[in-house]
Amino acid sequence: MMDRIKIMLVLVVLALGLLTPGAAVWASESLSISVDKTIFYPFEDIVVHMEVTNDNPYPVVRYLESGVSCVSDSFIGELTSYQVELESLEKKTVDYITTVLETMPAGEYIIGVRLLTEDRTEVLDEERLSIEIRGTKKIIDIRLLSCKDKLCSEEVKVFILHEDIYLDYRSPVPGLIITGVLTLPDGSTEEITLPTSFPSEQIGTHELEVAASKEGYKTITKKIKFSVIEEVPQIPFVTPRWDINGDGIVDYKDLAILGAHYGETTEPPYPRYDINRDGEVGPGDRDVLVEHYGEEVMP
Amino acid sequence: MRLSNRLLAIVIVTLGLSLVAISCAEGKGVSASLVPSPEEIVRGEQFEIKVWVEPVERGVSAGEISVSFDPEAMQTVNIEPGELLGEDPLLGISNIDNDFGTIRYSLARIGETKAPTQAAAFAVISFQVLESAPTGDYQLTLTAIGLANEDFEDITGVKVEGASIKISP
Repeated sequence: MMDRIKIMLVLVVLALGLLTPGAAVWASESLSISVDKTIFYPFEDIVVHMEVTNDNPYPVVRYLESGVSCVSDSFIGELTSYQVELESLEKKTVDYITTVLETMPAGEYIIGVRLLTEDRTEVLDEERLSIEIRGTKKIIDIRLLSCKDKLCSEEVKVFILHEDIYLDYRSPVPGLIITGVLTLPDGSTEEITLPTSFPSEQIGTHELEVAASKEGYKTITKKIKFSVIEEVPQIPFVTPRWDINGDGIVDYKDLAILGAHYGETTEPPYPRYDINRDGEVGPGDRDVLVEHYGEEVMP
Repeated sequence: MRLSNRLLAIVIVTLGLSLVAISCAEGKGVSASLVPSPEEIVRGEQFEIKVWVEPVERGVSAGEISVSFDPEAMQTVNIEPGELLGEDPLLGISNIDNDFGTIRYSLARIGETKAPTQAAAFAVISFQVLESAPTGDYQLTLTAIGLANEDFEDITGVKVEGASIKISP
């Protein structure tokens, strides 16, 4: 009798497990991926067939995440997501298609696909396969510089008339072929190569456009603009009022001046020792001075 | 030839006397010193240090001092103005750090400064000798002093002298 009850209980538990989605301990989904070929060239489509099988006796909603990354480079393609609705025991194939860009570095790539739960918090399965991309060109990383000295220790965008302008570039790619066109404010152009220098003779905006090329790399063009002005506007530096004597440091000498006038009344334009400009030289001014005591206020 | 030698000797003597005179003038410069009272103190007792300023012929309108002491042996309990800058001078900063054993203090005279200023204490500092202080001699150092004259300019070349006290059981 007891044995019969135990068998019945086991059967009930098994039946519940089969009928309750997500609770079945043996429920599963599987993923497999494939490509029609393994070598790709620029502008070709990489088609990845992603086959998902729902072995569960109930329908499920799942997500597929796919991406391409280069093995020998830092290139990582964007992740693409697909929602897949599967009936019980259904098998579906979804194609992930991505195009080989001319700028993708040549070499071995990994295509990775993950099968995720509906809330995308759990990875149910993961597949990878390897492909090769050929015939693409690397990107040239280049930065154009406008400077005040040959070593480009000071990069500037505004020059004073007749000042020497140094133009140069920085790139981690050695042996670049550089050609440039400098457009002057009057619209005239000059062909240049970098590095170069010349005295600024025209006031206004200059534009430098540079083409950088190298075997195996995609030719790239970059532009910068810089200006030439007649002179630097001189803005006199005025030390704060609490540096009463204007020597650039707030110390006992400022306190001495404040003390000499302490208790006096003042009128506009208020003298510097009436620091807070309230018309009275007193504790309020002393408090401001003490707050800034010891400060160096030179520009 | 003899005349030339005499002239040379006169020049050398004159130059020598001039140098002596210059040295004497420098020797009469403004000075600041720490004057302890008493100089020998028993553990747990208090003593005072006067920051004494000799302006000689100068006027003093303001000043700032920095003093260092051994915080393992003594603690600063008070600092107040002396008489150098008048009865009720204007307080600038008064920073006492008993952990590091430092004092920074500045004052200015209220009103006009007339030269010369009479020699007097710039500040009076009270110390408490700790019960745990090891007996022996301790240095109090006037690590920095700045004084402003009657025209609110720095008085340069101030000679500085610290002090020594003896702590006895």
